[in-house]
Amino acid sequence: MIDRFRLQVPDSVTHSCYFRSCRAWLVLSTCLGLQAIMVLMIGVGPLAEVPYEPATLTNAGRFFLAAEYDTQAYATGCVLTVLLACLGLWVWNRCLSRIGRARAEAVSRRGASVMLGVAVMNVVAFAGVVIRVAPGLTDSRRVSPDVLFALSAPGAVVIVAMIVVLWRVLRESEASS
Amino acid sequence: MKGSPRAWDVARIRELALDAALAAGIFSLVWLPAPSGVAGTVFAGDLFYHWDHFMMAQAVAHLHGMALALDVYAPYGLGWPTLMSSLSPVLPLSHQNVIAFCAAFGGLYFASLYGLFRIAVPRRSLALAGTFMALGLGFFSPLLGDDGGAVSNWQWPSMIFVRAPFDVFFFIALLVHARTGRPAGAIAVGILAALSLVFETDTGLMIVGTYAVYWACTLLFRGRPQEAAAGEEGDRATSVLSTFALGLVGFGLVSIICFSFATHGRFLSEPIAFFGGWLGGLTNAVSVSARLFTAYAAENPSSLVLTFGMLGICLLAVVEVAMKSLHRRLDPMSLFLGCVGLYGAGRLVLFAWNSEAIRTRFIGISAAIILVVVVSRAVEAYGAGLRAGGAGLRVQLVLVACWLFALVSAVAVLSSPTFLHYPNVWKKALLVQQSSVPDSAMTYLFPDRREVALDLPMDTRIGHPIRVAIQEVKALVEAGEQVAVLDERKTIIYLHSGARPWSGDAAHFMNTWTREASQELRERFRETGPAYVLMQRGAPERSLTRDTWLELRMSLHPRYRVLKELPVFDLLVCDRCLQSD
Repeated sequence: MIDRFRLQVPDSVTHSCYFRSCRAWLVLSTCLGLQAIMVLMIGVGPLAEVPYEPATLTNAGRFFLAAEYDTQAYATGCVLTVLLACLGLWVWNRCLSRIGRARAEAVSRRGASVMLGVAVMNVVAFAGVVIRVAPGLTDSRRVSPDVLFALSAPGAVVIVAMIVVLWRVLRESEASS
Repeated sequence: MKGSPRAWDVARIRELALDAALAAGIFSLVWLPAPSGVAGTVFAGDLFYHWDHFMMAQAVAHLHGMALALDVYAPYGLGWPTLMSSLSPVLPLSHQNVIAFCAAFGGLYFASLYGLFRIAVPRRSLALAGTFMALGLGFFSPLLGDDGGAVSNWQWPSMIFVRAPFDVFFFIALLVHARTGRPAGAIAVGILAALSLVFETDTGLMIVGTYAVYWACTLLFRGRPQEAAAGEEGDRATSVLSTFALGLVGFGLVSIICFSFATHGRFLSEPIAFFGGWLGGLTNAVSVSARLFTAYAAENPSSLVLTFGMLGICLLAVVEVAMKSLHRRLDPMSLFLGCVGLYGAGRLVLFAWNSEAIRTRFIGISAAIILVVVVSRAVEAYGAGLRAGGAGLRVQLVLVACWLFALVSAVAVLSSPTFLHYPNVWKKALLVQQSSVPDSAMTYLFPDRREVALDLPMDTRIGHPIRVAIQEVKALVEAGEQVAVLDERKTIIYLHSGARPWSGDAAHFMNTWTREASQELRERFRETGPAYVLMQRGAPERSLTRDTWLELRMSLHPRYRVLKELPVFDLLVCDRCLQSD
């Protein structure tokens, strides 16, 4: 059963080149995962409702029971990150296996560089957005859509670009085969 | 002599002596030689509220024969209160002694962290760099908007290593086992996982989760070469399984022994009630949070980015393990780093009092371990390549870079405002200031024991009333009476008067969050309360306990009368209760 979830290094790529590209994907997927965690914590976390009527709380209760879904959002984001990384590895592995021996090494090498470059740019952009947007957040349960859009934008751009690139690579490989 | 056993021994001993000296130096950075000053600062800050909630109230209750998790709510864990209560014949239980003990433990914790780095990385320079980085991120970092010196580090025990006292030791055992596969390592890992769980429930659960993932990966993915013959594979699996079983036995035995100590043996007769109380205490504290995450993010955006960066490092170590597992190429060091990463990421999920959970403190040590080990691997691989190519000068440059890394980490920590305010053995000026107690401006809260240094106005305002209250309660206790202290300062009064707590729960009175809970407390007092009560005379202004104070004080009125007016407090008595007794 467990052997069904097993990836083989494609014959068309050298081990070092293959694993370098896999690591680049891990870096990129982790960057995306971190962004998802923060967006979930800021966007979904405060939507929780306090399970008590304010009148039934003591002043200690009113101070301490600021219920939110932050723990759930965080845990979900972490699990999603790992799943995204694994799914991406599987897709990348399939993709490299399909590409002909002549191009696979080059695609793998170029893919690693592109993914690392995109990850760096993405993380810089996201950190910039956080530092710019976070001071405007308030102790409120409704976060403005603009803020959520700004926080989601860097990750969304990368995901769309990634899908387009993968689609093109696969199309080219199909055409060449 | 070179190469002979004798020469090797001398060199080895010299190496060990140097490491021991460095570990002692690291110990001295955290240890508090004059804990009375720190205890005084903490007392002035919050009247030991956080220590009481974290372990002191439970320790006092345990000292009086109450069972943790059965009679007493212990949301953080059972180990610390049991340990401090059990040590009381040799180390009298008091807030100052507990802080002093934890500071010594902290020295040992960070010295052991240096030991972990020495095992994990071959270069001493990188081990030192990692230790300083971990010290900076995990201890000497600002907390709650102040300089993080004496106050932050010791006012909130749940924010420092005390909340996860055995994680470093667990990872040392894990690394040794991952590398050697010896049964002794597996037993040590199991025992340390059990101790982690017993001492602090939420971080302990993370350690147990890490322990489970480690074994799952070891059993399923590690060392299964494709070409291994079926027989060899079977032998290996049996051997790994038996080692795992040994570890599990260690885990189970230590857990049972510790649970029995914590409950004075009642765990053995009431295991279901125990687990209900223990884990119920934890779930009670879930989602207790003073502020929304957005409020924290608004105030600390750069700290948030730093913490998320560290989370990224931890998650990268986890997904690296996932990648290697999928390809069946999992090596011991990657598995170890993945476990450290999993634990680090897990530590940000705080069950008990998760207020503002995304903090550098919780994840910094894990991130430092991963980062330094990865740097070390890169340095070794690069150095090996250079040596093979005969580039001697560049090899030397790499060595210099490693020492530079250590130097920069050390300077960053030792020059940080947090460290500069920390009263360790190297801060003569701060120590002189504290050792001048008692002088004209300072005194001790407990002069006979020279404990808890306070300035005079603080002592007059808070210290003196507490001392008088302790004296009165002590006199009643010596006369064979029982006294309930219905006040947020109850633990220190119970502790120093020797009175058996009416309720050993820190949660009662101090954290009664609903009016229903206040009423339940009132009813409970009506049914089981003793004849004497010590309570603040006037309603506490601007205090979180005001509502509960009003509820209790009003309910006492018909039955109890004021026996004695003390400074700040009233001593009340129920004549009818005395007659019925």
